[in-house]
Parts: sequence; C-alpha cells; structure tokens
Amino acid sequence: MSTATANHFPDQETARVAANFGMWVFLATELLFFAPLLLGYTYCRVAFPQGFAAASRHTEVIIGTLNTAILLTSSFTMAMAVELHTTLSPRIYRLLLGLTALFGVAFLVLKGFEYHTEWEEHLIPGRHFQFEHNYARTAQLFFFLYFVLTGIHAVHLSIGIIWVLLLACRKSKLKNDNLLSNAGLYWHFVDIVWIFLYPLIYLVARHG
Amino acid sequence: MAELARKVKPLLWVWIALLLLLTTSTASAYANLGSFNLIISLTISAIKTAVVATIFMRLGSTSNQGGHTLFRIAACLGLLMLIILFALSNSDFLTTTIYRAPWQSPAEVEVH
Repeated sequence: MSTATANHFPDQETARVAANFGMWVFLATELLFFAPLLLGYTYCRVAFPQGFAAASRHTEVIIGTLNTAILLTSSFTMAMAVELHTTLSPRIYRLLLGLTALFGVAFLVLKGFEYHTEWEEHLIPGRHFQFEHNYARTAQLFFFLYFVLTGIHAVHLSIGIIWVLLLACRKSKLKNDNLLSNAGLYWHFVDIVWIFLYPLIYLVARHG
Repeated sequence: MAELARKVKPLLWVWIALLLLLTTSTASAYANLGSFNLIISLTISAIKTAVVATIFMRLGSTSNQGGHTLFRIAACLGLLMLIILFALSNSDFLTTTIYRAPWQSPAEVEVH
C-alpha cells in the first residue's frame, strides 16, 4: 500500500504507476457505468426535443450552476492537496483535503434542497407526477433520467467525500502517496461527470 | 517558495479557466442560437474535461511529473468504449422505424 512498497514491486516508482494505472482502468469502467444512462438521454432528447426542453426549464438552474462552481473549486483544492502534499505543512495539507470534502458536502446539501423543491412541484416520476398534458410523458422520462443520473452521481460523490476525509485524518509524508493520488483521480472523475451532466440537465432550452 | 509558486500557478490558472468556461456556457444558454446552443455547451464541457484530465489528472504528464503513457492508453480506451456504445446503439435507434399497430390510436404512439 502506501506505507511501504509491496513485496512484488521492485521499486516505489513501479508501485506508483501500477496503482494509478489500476485506478484509471477502474475509472474507465465507471465511465461505462454512466454511459447507458447518457445513451438513453441522447435517444430521448433526439426523439422528444420539445418535451425535454419543457422539462429542463423546470430544473433549478441557479442551484445547478452554483453546484457546478462548487465542484470545480473542490477539484482545484484536491489537485492542490495531491500536487503539494510533500511541499506543504501537514496542517495546510489537511486543510485542503477538508475544504475539498466540505465543498462536496455543500454540493450534496444544495442537491437535497433541489430535490425537495422538485418534490413539492410534483416532478418526481410516479403516481404524483404532474406536468402540462402535452409533454407529460416525455417530461417524466426527462425527470426519471435526471433523478437516476444525479442520484448515482451523488453516491459517487459521497464515496469520494468519505475517502478524502479518511485521508485528512492520516498524515502523509510519502513522496509517492498512491492512496492520495488515486483519491484525486476519483474526485476529478466525479467532477468530469458533473461537467457533462450540467448542460444536459439545466441548459437544454433556457432561452425564450 | 519559488517551487511552490511553480506548482500552484498552473492549477490556479486551470481553476480560473474552468470558472470562466462555466460562465460562458451558462450565459450562452440564454441566447437563442438554435442548434448551436447544444454544440457550444457540449464543446465547452469537452474543453473543461480536457483541461481537468490533462492537468489535474496528469494525463499530459511524463513519468517524472507523476503521469505515464499507460494512463493515456487506459483513458483513451475508456473513451473508445463510450464511442462504440453510442455509435452502434444509435445506428439502430436512429434508423428503426416505429410501426403503428392497426388497433393503436395515433395519440398512443405519437409522443412529444
């Protein structure tokens, strides 16, 4: 692991490359986790453009935009922690990780408020879904995709937050801290997923 | 101190660029540009992803800088799988005709 080179690696550098490569392969599989949902979104948006446009206008764009900015900033603090963990004092290193986790929690809190608003507006697919009659069926498809995509994203984000908090409780003085660099890769991946989800959910038809 | 600044500067610039790109994508969504709205927003997302992957995730780095060729290979293969999924699946969806059964009313089949 990160406290000593595992016996089967000849040196630390090989261990680092192996650890990060394994993480990248895992991230490629996680991309394929989200891919079918995005495929479904693509089909629905091409087949039902007006319904999707109408549904997208009911999303909370202010919360969505704020959440995107929060996640982008959390990626910055995470990258700083990974890049500078040998240069910085342990306290600043822990502060950066703590900030990253805090931004993640802030994202989830705002998401919670957003879900609550959508529940009050009867936009959760199911028996109590209400929408203007013309677009009711396709708007329900949109919101089904919305809740599953953002829900699974939130699960990924929660895993990242726990990982980052665990790292913050640990002092890292290793040049090659593979747990830390892998956590960074995971966090940036979660950010990238959201970077694509944001325009697909919130910016479909904001004009007019 | 100089070493710290050397490491922090690219990260800081990336963060500022990401926030600027976000502002651009949000603002452009409020302008009526027809099909360009989608193209612009997805292009900006692709640029943000490229920047995060190359600099934050060290995809553009050599072994000495914390990266490796193997990471680039893994990332490209993941992307290739995504492209294959979209290309093959959509080649079916976009070319399949939905035939209405005689007993289905138009309202049942036509969806908006």
